[in-house]
Amino acid sequence: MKVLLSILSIFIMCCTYAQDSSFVRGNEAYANADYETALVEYSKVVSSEQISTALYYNLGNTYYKLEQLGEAIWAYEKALKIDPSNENAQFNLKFANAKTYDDLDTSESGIVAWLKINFFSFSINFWAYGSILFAFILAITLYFFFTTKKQKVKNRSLTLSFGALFLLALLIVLAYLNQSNIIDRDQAVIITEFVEVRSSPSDTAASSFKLHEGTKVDLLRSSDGWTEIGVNGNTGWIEKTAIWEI
Amino acid sequence: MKRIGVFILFICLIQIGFGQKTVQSVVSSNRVAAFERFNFEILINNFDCEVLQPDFGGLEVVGGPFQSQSNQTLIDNGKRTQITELKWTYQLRAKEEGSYIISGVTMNCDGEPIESDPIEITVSEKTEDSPVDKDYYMRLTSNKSNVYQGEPFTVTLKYYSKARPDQFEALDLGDAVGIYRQDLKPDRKSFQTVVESINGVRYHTIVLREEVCFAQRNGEVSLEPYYASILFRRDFFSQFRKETYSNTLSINVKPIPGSSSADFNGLVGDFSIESEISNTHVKMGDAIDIKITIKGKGNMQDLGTIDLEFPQEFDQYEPEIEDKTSVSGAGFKGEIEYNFVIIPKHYGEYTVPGYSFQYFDLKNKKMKTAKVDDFIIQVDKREGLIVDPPKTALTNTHIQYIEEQSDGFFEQDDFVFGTWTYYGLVSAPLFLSFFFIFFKRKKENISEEDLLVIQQKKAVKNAQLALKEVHEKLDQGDDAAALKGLQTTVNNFFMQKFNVGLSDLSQRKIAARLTSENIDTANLEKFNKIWNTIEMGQFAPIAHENIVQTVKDTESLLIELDKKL
Repeated sequence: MKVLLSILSIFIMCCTYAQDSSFVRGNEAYANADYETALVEYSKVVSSEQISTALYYNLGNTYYKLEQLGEAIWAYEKALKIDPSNENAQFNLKFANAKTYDDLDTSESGIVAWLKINFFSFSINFWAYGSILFAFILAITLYFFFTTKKQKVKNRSLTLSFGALFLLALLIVLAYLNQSNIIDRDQAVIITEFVEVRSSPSDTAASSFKLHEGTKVDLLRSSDGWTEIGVNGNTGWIEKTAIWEI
Repeated sequence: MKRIGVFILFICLIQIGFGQKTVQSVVSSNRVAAFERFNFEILINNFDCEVLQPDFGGLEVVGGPFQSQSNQTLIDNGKRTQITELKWTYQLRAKEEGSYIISGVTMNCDGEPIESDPIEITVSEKTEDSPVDKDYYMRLTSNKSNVYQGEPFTVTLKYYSKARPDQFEALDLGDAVGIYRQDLKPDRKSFQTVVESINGVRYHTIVLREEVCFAQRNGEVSLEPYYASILFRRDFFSQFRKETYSNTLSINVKPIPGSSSADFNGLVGDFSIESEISNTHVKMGDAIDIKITIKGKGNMQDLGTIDLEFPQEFDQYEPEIEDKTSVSGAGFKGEIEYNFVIIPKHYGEYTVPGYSFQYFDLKNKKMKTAKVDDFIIQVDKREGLIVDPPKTALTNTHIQYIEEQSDGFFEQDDFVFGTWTYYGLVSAPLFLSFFFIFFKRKKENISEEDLLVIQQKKAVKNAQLALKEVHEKLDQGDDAAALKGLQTTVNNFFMQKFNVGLSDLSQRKIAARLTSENIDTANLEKFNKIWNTIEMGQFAPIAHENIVQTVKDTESLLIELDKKL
């Protein structure tokens, strides 16, 4: 068992080293204004399915420097999904959005944004571990409630049990929402120069309106190479190749 | 009549001025009633030719000839010309109605005869009020009476008067519904008076207006009577005004075949279109000039503005229109330039649709299309992607630098939530808790018999512990307390073993019970002996050694009994 664990830890370290070195090489290339190389290095990390806020943020900067506005906005959005409170990513996203042609305000605001910034900024398993902790607390308080013969202890443990149960439920919901916020792909960014939004999933369908690079859209449903998108209350179909899912 | 029908020789005495020698013969009216007198005049402008009296064709000379002379001085370009005119006037009449012809007047100048036009006189019973008979009238005429919609035609307004017009005062155009008209000489300030003979009657004529017209709908369109006001001189000091209306002019307009096309906006004539673009490969923010030139002739005024459909990514300005057309009787001719300026605001390849229109070719009588091709414009990014100044107020003009430390990479699989491990970890404490609670509960809910068994099992242990205390008391020399402790120990043992109350403990009852439990007699005796000793000790002192022996006996007895009970 011990041997197995040590092999596993060495393997994990190797992986970490590989992604870190690509990340570091990307950073170095970026510092030397060699953005093509930086893009290649960062992409290596992404393709190894190792992701982080900083990685997407740096990738966004690299795309921006390469004048690929749509991809840059995509990467900033990805970074902010993992850590909505990242101020650098917020700033750069705002900066890049200011350069898009479609002057649409697609950023979240109000209570949703506030909740995201304040609750989804911890490490990815924060709420999951927290819920496990409260499961323990609930177990202990319940034990006391059911076993004690002293009325005072019984009352207190009952109050604590209810509190722990509520927090456990809340943390499970938060853990679920945090994870689905990071994993679910319900939005996308347009990465082609411009795209005709059509009334039905066909090249010959009438063009409803036009969207330009960098605009964020909601994904509604898809059909055979086409995706129905929603933006500012309007909907229409665009080709899947024109967007990158966030 | 014969008296007058001789050759008359006139010798010119004075000749001032020069120019073409002319002879004119006019009548005051060529439609007369029988016996109505009218004048016949012979006018010459030189004096050295011989003029022969014409044949009056059966008309009676009532009076004349009366000779008169008029002098006129013309100043043209500073050159002074004096014209002298000689006039002979005859008074004629017809006795019967019918048609009469006065032959032309022949003038012989150095063997070259000049002859005026013959005049036909219609004599009726009563005088007709035809326009030609009037002394002042106005005619509106067109060069075409049958046109296509949009085809140009010219309309002339001509004024006729017997007296010489002195001053033009006013002109009002009649209504012209469905007709676009354009004055051919809008800058005209003066009018030229020409003397014309209409059917032998001498008139002063003025072309008051010439216009080119285009019918804008099919069917019959008409120009309502025009109005003119002209002043004439009565004598040297006074003038009089004549107000005249023209006729109504009707034109038959044919529809254009195949005019239902959306591209056709009524152009008729001959047209061509050209385009010019300053640059098809630019960077964002660079201006592009597009020039569309439409050349041709016809109703170019109907061209209006043209709309090019620029993509929304282009800033566009109102096109500058340069009209280089001139108007003539055949319509408008020349070219119209449309200059568009556009500025791309976003990168990419864009197509600006070209422009096309249809027109009706008058020569071939069919529809034709004039067209310019689409413009393909490639727009490149500018450095720094700057299109406009940032729309949001930003203090920084650059993006933030990259982050050099990463706060830990993760994979999709790294999520704990939703895994079996997670569900296990969340539910395990609760299961454990319930497990413990269950056991605790089980412990508390033991049955009376079980409890009794446990109690009975514990009885000897409790007794042994109590006897230890008894020994201690004995060692201390407190015999009474030791004896009391011994009694309590024995009582407690049997109470626990037999599960009875203190009141049920008597020597007899215990002995009976022990007997029923098949305890051998030796132990039974031992019990009785101990019990008796304890009872006796309550009333009389017992020797210390005796008590010690009793305690020892009790201990061994209880151990024996515990094994058997």
